[in-house]
Amino acid sequence: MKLARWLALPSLGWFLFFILAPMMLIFAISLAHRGVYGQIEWGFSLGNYTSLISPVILKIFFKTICFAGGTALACVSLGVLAAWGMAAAPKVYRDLLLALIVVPFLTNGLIRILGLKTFVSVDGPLDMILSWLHIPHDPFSLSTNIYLVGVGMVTSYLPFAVLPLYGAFEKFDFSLVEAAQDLGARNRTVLFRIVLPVLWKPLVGAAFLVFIPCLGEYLIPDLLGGAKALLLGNLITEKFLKARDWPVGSALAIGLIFCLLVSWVILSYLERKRHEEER
Amino acid sequence: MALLEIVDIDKAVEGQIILNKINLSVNEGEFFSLLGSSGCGKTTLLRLIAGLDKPSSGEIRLDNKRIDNLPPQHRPTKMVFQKYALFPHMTAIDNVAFGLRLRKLPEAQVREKSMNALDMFGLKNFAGRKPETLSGGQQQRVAVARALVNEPRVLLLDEPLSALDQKMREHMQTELRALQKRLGLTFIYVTHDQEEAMILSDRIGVMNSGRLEQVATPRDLYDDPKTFFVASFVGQMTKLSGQLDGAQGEYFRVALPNGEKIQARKKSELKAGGAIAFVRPEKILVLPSSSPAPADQNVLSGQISQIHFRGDQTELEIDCGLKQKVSAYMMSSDDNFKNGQNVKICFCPTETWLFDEGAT
Repeated sequence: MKLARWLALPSLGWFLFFILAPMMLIFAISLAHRGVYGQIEWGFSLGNYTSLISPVILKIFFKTICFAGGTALACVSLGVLAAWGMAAAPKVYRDLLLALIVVPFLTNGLIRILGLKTFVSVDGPLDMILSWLHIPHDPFSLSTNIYLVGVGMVTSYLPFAVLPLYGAFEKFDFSLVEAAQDLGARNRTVLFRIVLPVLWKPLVGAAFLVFIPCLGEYLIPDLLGGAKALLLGNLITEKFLKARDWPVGSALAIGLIFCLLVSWVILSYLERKRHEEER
Repeated sequence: MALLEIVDIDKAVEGQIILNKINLSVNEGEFFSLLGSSGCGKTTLLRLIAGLDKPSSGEIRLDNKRIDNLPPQHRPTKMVFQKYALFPHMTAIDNVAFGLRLRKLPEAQVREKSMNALDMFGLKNFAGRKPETLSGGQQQRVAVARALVNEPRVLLLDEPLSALDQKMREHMQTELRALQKRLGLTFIYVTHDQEEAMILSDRIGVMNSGRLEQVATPRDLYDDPKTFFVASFVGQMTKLSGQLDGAQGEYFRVALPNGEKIQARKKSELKAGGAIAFVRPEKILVLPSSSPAPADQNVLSGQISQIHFRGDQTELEIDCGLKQKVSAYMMSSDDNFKNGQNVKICFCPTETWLFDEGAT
């Protein structure tokens, strides 16, 4: 048993060297200045952070949170239905349904998004179908728009919600549903007063699994949204790679982490309060 | 008067027959048990009554009104589930109040009724506790209180005591029976435990492979089983296989493989050839081989091969040169026998039941 304690050491070491150390470096850069040629001039200033409090950046922050939140909500809503359906399906079909969810997940994310982009592109299949049906549309705005970013995000992150929810539904005691029905509950009551409250924790877990990577997503908005769908991930990428302003880019990244920490603290507080009330 | 009537109920799932032409009447105020081994269809029948499953054909009537087409929400039955199915995120009182709140009763009335229901089971002080913090027995009581508070016409109980330890189970059996008598409510109770069914029930329906084999009072079931299955399933039996060797009215002579002959009473249609005689072990009298046997009794000679002391009772296993050893029970205080001792076993032909060998 004593030996078992040391088993976590390699991953802990990995975490310290390759995650925590770069993070500390990013934090240090966020307090530095950008030199005239884009180089980092070390120092201690909160100027990069105060520069974030501008209407343009706050709007992007807000838009990013809304996008990530909306994607999380959509993925969890669809995920609940999918996971419930899979868990209630006869055992022989469950593996097949699971494969239908997992197999696209195993393909490269970029390929999936490019596939979607090709589908909606000018002269692409969707454009052709709409033209054939004589439905008036603008092929250029059809191929890059903000809704498409939402579709792409949900498509990419849905398995993140379905898989943990499927695990939760598989362990869920369905006799609770029957007991509620037996006591007079209709389907809506069963869903909102029994199933969702009992599965509260996995639901929040699944929502966060989608929400967190969505906050930093830059590939999907870039490929499907064009210039109109500038999210925080795109802004950070722009600051690091195009503007060569690493200090402001780092401040943005730290700001994002701060947002996540704040939402995590709020959630933990709410959960603790719920527990205390229940007691 | 029949409160619940089940008429020609069939249930098949993916071509497999789960219930086969079930006909049953349950009277008002009766404690009725469905007894059978796992997979015999007893829980399915209970679920059909509750509306949690649909029959393939047939009718279920309650108070002379057809209910098999109603969803569970609209049936005047309530169910206590095997693992209680208490809502884990709700306190005991909220669990009990769940059905009442759905009926939109005033909150004060809901709380009063729920508290009274919990009080009836001595759980008033546990009203604010979550199910996970309650013992198995307390959870079971909350589950019964939750069902009863809705004043059902029939309470359906699906092996509610199976998760409890022996002592708690015995205690809850007494409590359930007393409760049922006090309320005068109709209980339909599913169990695989025949002793439990015997203790609790006014009548028992024995099920086997989707069929209802026999419906009778516990005593009739024990003393007068109508089918081979019921005879083998209910209580302990010593089985003696042999060949039919003449008849006298309803009594048949059976030649056993050791050359001895016994008389037995016919219980099912017999075809010429093999038959199996059943005798309850407690009906077998064991005597030292030198003692004279009582008149008009079946008598077999044998040797004691095993003695199992069970506290108040002792079981003797006697080798009579047959395929199976003969099992006999006696009061431990009367047991003066030793292993290997030659004995005589005597049993009355009226209490020896004969079934056709093909009935197995």
